[in-house]
Amino acid sequence: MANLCKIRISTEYFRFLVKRNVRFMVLSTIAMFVLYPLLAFTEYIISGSYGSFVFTMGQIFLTILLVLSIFIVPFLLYSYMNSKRNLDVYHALPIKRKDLFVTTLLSGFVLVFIPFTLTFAAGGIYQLLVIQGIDWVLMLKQYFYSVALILAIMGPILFAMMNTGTGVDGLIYGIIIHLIPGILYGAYLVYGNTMLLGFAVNDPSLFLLYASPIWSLFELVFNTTREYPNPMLIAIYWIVIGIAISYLNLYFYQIRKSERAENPFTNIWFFPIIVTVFTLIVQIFFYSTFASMNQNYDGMMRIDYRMLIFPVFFTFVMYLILDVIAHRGFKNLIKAMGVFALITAVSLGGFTISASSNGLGYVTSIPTSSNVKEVELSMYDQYGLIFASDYRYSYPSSQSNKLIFKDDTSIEAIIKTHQTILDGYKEFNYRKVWSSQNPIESKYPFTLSDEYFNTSITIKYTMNNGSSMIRSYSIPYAWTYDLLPLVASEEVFNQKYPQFGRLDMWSRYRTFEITNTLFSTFTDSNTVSNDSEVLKEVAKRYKEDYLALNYEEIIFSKEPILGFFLVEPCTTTTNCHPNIMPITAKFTRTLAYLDSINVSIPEVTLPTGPTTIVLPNSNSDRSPFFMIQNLSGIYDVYYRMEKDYVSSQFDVIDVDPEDLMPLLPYMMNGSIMSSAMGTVRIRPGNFIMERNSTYLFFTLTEGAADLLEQYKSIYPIRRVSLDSILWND
Amino acid sequence: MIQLTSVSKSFDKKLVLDHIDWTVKKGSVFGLVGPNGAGKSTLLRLISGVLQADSGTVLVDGDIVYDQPHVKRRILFLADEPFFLHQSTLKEMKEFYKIFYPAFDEAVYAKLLNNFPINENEKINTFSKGMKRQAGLILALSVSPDVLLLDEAFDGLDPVMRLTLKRFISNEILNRDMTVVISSHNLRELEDICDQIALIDHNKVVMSGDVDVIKGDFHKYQIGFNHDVENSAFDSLKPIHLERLGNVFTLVCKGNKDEVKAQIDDLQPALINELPLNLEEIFVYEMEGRGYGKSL
Repeated sequence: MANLCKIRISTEYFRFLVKRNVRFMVLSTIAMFVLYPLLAFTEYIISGSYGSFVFTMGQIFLTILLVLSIFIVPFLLYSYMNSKRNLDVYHALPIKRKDLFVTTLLSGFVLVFIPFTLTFAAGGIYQLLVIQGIDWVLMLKQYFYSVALILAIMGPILFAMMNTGTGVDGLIYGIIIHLIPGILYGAYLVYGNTMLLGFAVNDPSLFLLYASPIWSLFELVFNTTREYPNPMLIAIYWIVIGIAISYLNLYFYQIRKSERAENPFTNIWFFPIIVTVFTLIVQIFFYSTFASMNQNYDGMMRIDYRMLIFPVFFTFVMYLILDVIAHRGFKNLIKAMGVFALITAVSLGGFTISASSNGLGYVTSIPTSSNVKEVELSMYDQYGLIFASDYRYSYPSSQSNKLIFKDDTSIEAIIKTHQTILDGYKEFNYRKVWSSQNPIESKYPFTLSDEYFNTSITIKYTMNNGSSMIRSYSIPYAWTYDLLPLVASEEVFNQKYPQFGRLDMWSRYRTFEITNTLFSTFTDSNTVSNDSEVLKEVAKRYKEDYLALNYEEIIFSKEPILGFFLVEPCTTTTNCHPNIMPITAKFTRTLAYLDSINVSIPEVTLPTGPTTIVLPNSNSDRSPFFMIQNLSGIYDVYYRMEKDYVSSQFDVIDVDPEDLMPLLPYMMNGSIMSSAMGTVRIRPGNFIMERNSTYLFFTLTEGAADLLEQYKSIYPIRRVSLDSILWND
Repeated sequence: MIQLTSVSKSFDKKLVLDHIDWTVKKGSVFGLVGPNGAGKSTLLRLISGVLQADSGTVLVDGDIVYDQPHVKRRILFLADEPFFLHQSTLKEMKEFYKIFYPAFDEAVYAKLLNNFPINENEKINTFSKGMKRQAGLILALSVSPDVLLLDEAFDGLDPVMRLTLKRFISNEILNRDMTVVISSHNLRELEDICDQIALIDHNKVVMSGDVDVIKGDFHKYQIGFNHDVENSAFDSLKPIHLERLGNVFTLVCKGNKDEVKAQIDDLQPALINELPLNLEEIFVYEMEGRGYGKSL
């Protein structure tokens, strides 16, 4: 470090180098200009207008040219190292070697920096002038990211040049060094996805963001939505790495043996280390790829070593080619074959051990709940039991099928589910695919339809010590039963009913009303601001009441619905998110508060016309006919006949208003019935709009069985389509 | 001025210089000779600071040379093939050298340019081999170094240019006490200009000293006999070279002249002729004595 501080830049030599390479800078600038600002001007000439797309394309070309110029410049300035004669002159010069190296490096940076800056500035100003709404701050950031990565991209090229003795070898190994992170990560991903059950990565681009400067350049400049990690910090990271690599290169420059110039390698360890690492990585990549191509008759994955013949052969040829180039002939062939055999033994051995030990315990590892700080769970929840349904297309975009649980009960439920998953896969030796022909025993009190046989689940544990562990599985939906306790968690409540759970999200409330079961009468419609004490108190008490229930009381509730809250908050003037929240007798705190402010649920009045009841299919006693309420309170109807999806035809009866009233105590909302009884279709009025149905649907409990039988004998049964039930009729 | 003390250097385990002790006085012109691969260029590279010795010290005026700009500023090394920047002119090379050598003398440069038929604005890669050497010498001499190291620098020059340069170097030595070390295979050339010579062979300096002293140490005689004489009769003289044509011998040996003459007289020759020896012959005979080139 002390030596580093004593480096002196020879300003005269620096000026000399820059001046001497003016032609290169001029050529670079012209090339960049043609592909960036001029490209946009060309589009204007052709089409008469400017488009952001062309400017973006121009920026991509500019970035590519930036990388190319970074690759070229070291060979322009340091090529003297590849000639003994030239090296004699440079090393005889009265300048310290480190000063010579750093001065040259700085001039190299400038040779890249100036053309890029000129072009970027010209293109940026041009874009700002002709296109409205351009984020100039973002543009400045993109410029900063690009410049921040120059040294880091140049570093590996120079590193290769410091350890090789010819330009060709420097270029080959500079490229190889740049490729290694990408191939390494690809090998890791392919291996994990192929061989390790549960393998998942947090952010697929994260590793390369830290390991590959070229990848990072394009990611930072063009992925403008990235927030984590902070792009500015990543850019600073690469500045530091660039300086560190430069320091390392300085060291190698100083110890470089000039008598080995014009030989392929000046460092006898360089070729063995780089090529060995490269070969190992490529082998693992290909082993995993080819292993994944093999599935035996029962669909289980095994390592069939016959599938690995081609990868071994391919990498053998690759290794020999590199060896022949390195030794400029075949004199090292026998030794190369021996070394390759050793490398292959290591890679095959490692691959086999890892696969047979399930990734050295990766597959079977589950944390203990005491070590877990929080768990992020994401799942394709077709039934909307835990996650909000995807059918609410106007749902706030901040919601997603991803929740973070911090309480012990939820964490234990998730860990239990994780264990269930592993126990299920253990039967198949933790192979990634199991036969779909085997029936899966389910604890769910309803028969699952085929389409919901599988689901995907991702569990990300964050430990108390800050580390994380992520696993992702494709599993039978039946294995998610142990997650049901999550339904009663605060996280699920906040996602299910953000209108009450996340008061901070809303700028105002357009609607806050109470209605009865049949939506027949509304209280006076008042617009209540989110500062309203009434709203806050209702939300607080409703949440308390919900959290006081257990998951069975929520999902399998047979409590009669007393009424609904109709709530429509808004984030902006036009961006509003209505929802209905059921009120049952179990919501004691809420009811008590309403009573205290003299607000009561309006009396039910008879509907004006007949009410349609959708009947279950009676042809099969195994028909999985059930109603699922999505989190908005809207019912989606699914009809499955065993494994076959039949055309959506349903039997319905239309009962008179007075015959509807006796069914009220048996009409459920937000619950799943274990047996199919029937579904009552209610028209909610204008409140619920733009859903996948014009109606609300209520499941009937077993208590309605007798009434229903009676009505089936009285009223004619019609056969109608699903669409008619949802939208028309 | 230049002092090497127990200097050794190896390249990839191959020993090139083995504990070299060598001194070059200030203001002298030192010739460096030796068979191909003896280590002459390596020695020059060590003195110029291009290479670092594996052991021992290389000092110029008491200062270590390697990676010391203030010392190297006074040394200029001109290799057998001069270096020029890609697509450069002599003028551009001048600017290059001026950056690093503050003592660069424009007057000397102009004077030399007058003497050599070189256009400073023409690209050097269009020059002939000889012209490139001239260009290299112009730059080297214009730097006005205190120590000038020339590695076979006169090769490729025409006789007129050689003479011009020799005169110039001699003037610089007289005026500035410049020290010159010249490596060359052209011993006739070295004999003209050098006042000291060193012979390197098998990684070592086997002979070093004033040219006159060295020449005085070697003797060549043509000796004729009336009677048969065996070659072994000359063994006591430890001949470096012995050639026989009938009863006439050509002998080259080292040692005190009088002693050598007395030993020859003891053999009762019919004829003794002392023949002149130039440096080249001394070199050839000495190397033959060491087994170099004998198989041909």
